[in-house]
Amino acid sequence: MGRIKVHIDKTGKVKLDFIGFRGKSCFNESDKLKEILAKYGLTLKEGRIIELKQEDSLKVENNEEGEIIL
Amino acid sequence: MSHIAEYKTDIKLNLGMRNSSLSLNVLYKTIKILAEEMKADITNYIETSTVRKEMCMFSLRGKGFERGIGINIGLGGEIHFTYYGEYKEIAEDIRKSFEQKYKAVALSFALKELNYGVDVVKEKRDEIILSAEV
Repeated sequence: MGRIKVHIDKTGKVKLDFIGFRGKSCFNESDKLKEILAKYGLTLKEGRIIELKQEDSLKVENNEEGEIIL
Repeated sequence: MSHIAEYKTDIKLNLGMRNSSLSLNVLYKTIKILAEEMKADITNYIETSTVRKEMCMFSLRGKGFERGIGINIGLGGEIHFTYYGEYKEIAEDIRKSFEQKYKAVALSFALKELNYGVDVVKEKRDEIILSAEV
């Protein structure tokens, strides 16, 4: 399975980084997460989705600062 | 394959019979975190400018906002922040910080429900980063 990195900035914008998921499984995981979050009173409205190539994914994982750089 | 998804978000507590306790747990945990961070006390009232007590669901009282900032839930599940006097700026800071922390707590609970182990990588006012792994 993969890893999910969650960024919440001071304006409240939520960015989810799905790392190492096979095929389109990250989309299923994202849907499940949205469904559960609704129970907790949080609605994620569809925003921007960027697919990353394998090398981009590795770049994200290897970043020493734990920051995402695109 | 990996992807990054950015979302706009809405906080509206789920007050349905089955899920209200879940939302309230997130709310209470968020308020506790905020209180710790601001070295504030959690009470259930604020004071008006004539020192009359006004009850609310929760309130935060601390240095610089001694009369308190009230936190209430509207009938539709929306969160209201109430204050008297000159607390406009601090109330807005608290609202922003509350919103960020509520989302972090809700996401952390939801990811745990999906059997992820969740760690806080970074927690500052400008950004909170969580890392979740099965």
